[in-house]
Amino acid sequence: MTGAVRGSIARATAALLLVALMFSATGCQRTVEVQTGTRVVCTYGHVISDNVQMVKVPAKEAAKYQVETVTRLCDRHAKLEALYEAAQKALAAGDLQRAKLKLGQVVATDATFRKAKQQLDTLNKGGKPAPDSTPNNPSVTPTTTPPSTGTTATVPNALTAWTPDAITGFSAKKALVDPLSVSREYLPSAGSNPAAALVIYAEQYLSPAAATAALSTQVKSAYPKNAATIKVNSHSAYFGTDGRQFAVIGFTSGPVMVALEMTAKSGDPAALRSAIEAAAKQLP
Amino acid sequence: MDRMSTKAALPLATALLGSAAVFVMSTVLSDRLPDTVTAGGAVALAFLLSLPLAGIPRVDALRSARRRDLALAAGGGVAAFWAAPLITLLFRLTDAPPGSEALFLSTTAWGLFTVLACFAVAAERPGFTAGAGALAATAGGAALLANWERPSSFSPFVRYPVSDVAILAAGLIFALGALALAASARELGPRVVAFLGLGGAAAVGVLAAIPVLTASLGSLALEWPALLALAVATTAFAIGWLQTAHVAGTPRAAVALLGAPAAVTALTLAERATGRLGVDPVVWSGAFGGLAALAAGCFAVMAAEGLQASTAVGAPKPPRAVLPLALAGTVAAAATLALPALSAVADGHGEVPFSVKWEMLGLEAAVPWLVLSVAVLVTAVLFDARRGAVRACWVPGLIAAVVCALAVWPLLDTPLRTWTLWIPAGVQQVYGTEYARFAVAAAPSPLLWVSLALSAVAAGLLGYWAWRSDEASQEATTR
Repeated sequence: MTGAVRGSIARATAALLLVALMFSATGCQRTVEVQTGTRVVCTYGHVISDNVQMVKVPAKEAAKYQVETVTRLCDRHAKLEALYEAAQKALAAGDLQRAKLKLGQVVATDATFRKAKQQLDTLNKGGKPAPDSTPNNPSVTPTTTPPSTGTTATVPNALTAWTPDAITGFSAKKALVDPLSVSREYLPSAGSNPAAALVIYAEQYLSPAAATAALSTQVKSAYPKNAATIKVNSHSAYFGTDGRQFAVIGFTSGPVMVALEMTAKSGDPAALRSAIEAAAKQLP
Repeated sequence: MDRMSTKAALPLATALLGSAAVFVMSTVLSDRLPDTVTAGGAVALAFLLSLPLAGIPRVDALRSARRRDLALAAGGGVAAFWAAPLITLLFRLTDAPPGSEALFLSTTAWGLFTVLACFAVAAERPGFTAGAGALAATAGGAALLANWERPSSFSPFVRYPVSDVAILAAGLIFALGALALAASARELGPRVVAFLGLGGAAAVGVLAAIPVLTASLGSLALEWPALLALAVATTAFAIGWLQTAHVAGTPRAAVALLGAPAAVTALTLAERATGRLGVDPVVWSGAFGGLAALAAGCFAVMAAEGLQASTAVGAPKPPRAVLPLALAGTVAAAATLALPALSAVADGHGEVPFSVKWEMLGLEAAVPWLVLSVAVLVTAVLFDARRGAVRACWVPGLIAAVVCALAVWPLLDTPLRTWTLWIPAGVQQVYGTEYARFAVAAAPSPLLWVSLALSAVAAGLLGYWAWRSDEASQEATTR
């Protein structure tokens, strides 16, 4: 390799190092635009207020900013519901004049509100409409938090007691429910949580002996390291790890085998023992 | 050994298919058998399968060989055929890291490391053009894998940094092992080295597997067909690699690793041929762009002349103007790695209402790496030309540069990183469903086009000068 070539390579390397320094400066200070604010929505579907906006924040703080959706009854629809209810009570009591008055007030504000227009038209033609007995917006209830998760099963399942909707430090995803087993994943709510994920699994066996055998073959043999027997609520439970990434607590409750599996962010699953015990103690 | 020999074509193809099959079967066996049993069992069976192919060396030939060469062969085999695959298995689960990441880090990256390591050994030293070709193939391989699906699972060093770094460390071990094997093969020949290398790896592998063998017998009874398939793949890779390295040089053997993503992607063709169709997740426009760059880089590695070729005495030097243009193009391309290249949006509408927009840097996108490859290829051809190795370098080098430049267009919106550490996991887990979306749009820096323009001018001047030099030397020869 000639000296000139070496010199050129050296110059090019120096230039690339300079660029690398530039990169390290820009990369460390990344800012992102994240949406934040509160959107208030009426139970009848329209937006009452919306102060959602994009703000620039450091990337590592972005997860703190979310959009909160609040659902409540707006003043206008509250008045309409009160007038409509009064009209229905008047119809039920046979007071058609009062009903006509109230329905007229409703229609003047919102001609499409429930059956107000049809009932008023019937009254104006000399008829007597039947009172409307359906409740106000039965499918929507005011909320102040994002909708909570629910199970996918439509039939109540006793196993779902082992996969609660809330575990401290985690947010629950939808449970996967079969007739004889249920599993549910929980994701950490905070970045400081040492766990990357938690899965709770419960399966019904034919007998307590079969559940105990399953605990031995499926849990103890798969997670043989750092083995220990611990007490979780009233259950004698097994704690173990695979030595690389996963920690598990397993126990039986009659013919049901329950297992909690936690994934370590750091690669030291034994360090998850206190965290997984804390999660297990929130089960029945 | 400077030029690509047709004798190396078949073993190289065998090694390429072998490397792809090793990856696929390792994924199949991941978590089904203890890793030491998988690694040791596969290489032990591969040793037995290699005996009819490579033969058993004569005892007197081994006795007369230098101990250093015997140790290099055995040690190189242990490193390349047992230790490196075992480390990869230890740090892989079936989908952690995701398959696209594991494939890139355990094949393409290993190939790049091997080519770069060859610069340290005079007998294996490739030309600068070949080194630049390896970089282009790496950029193309990453772009191809990043287009396997959208949103892509290809996000190295984000979710599993420890595993990713460990697999790269295994790649360094493989590269060192490959150099040791090449050094011993220069004295002993590839057949003896195959026997010693695979034999050494088999011996160490079996010893390491013994403690867990008894407990694994039940699993082995179920998984032996997959283990046998892995052994066949290992045999093909090892024999093909050793033969290619002996005939055409270790840098050219590294093409078997650089090209593995293309071979694994080709499995989708088998899927279509058998009619077992599911949803096709591949973004084919981007995938073809990545494939083109990958093939162009491999072509430059294969066809460019090595540095051990003698410099033509009195050969004309390229015009002085080319060097500053080429270097400026390279620095500009490197600068684009630190500048915005893509605009990204992530929205979560399910359990975690979250919406964010940000700019992804060139380091996180495919195109700046390709543009850097173009600039480095042109610069490398120039450096090879300055040492007199013109004829066998400028054609493959400049062709590869042109193909990589054309591949930029379908890859403008390809990110090399989808996952981040600062977006809530609850949003990222459900990307691509009705609960969350991740979208990117191209936003290349103007410096990117400046770099391409500088590289194009430099390449044009260089190509014209090389063509004229070639014509002049041919005229002189006929006179």
